[in-house]
Amino acid sequence: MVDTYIVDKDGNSANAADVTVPSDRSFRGAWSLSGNVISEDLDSAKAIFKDKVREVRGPLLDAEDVVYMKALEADDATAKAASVTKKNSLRDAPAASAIDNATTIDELKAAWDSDLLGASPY
Amino acid sequence: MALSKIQAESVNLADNFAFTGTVSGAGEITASSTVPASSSSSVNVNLTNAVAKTWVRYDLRTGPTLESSLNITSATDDGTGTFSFNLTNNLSSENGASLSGTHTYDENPTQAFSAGSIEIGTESTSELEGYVGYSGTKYDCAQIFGQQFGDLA
Repeated sequence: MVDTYIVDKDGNSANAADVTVPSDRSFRGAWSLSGNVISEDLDSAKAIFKDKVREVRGPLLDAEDVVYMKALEADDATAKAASVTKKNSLRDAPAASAIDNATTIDELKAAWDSDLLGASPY
Repeated sequence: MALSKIQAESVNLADNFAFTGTVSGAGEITASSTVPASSSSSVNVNLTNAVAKTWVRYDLRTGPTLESSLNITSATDDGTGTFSFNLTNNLSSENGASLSGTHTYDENPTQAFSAGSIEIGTESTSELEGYVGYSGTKYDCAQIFGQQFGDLA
């Protein structure tokens, strides 16, 4: 059997056969080695989570631009206001308090706003 | 000796035989041996050049684990979507060709992976390094397959 090594976020390396590894790789970039256990550093995981929010909201903002332009062409004040509200919500999504207030990885995963961002990747 | 002669002398050619000798002379495979490019082609290709010097089947769902390989000493999970393989026998140069592929299963459900990219290349003559990504961001996938062609040192 060929050895496989895992490098954590700080560059520390361990043989995969000798360490306990998180059950999923959602926050692989937050993996931190301590002794023979690799765990997820919560602050790093929050940064990864916010990056995922930014990635997912990109095409949603693009789509909302179309919605706004149509509302503008139709001079529909209600539709324009709704679109502005949606775009502001998408812009603010990475700063949601549920992300910063999460104290565990499970709470962090639960902070995904499916109503705004669509199906959770976690 | 003709095979029909051997058969006639009570050696059953359907039996299994353990060969312990050494092939030499006209039948010996050497670094300059060639094989036809196809059954209908008069073009020959160099046998040594045509063989992959390294191949890997690397699985991120189970460990990660190098499930099977050739000429690999160790694999390293370097981070999200990045990995490297140390070679048992070094390459003669970094100018060989690397082929790679992935199996994604249900990883990264927000991504249309068909638009993504994977690359495995020679980091040095003793190491292959690669990544899986999409639009500038690296992603994990379920399995990675790679082959390296080129001369060994």
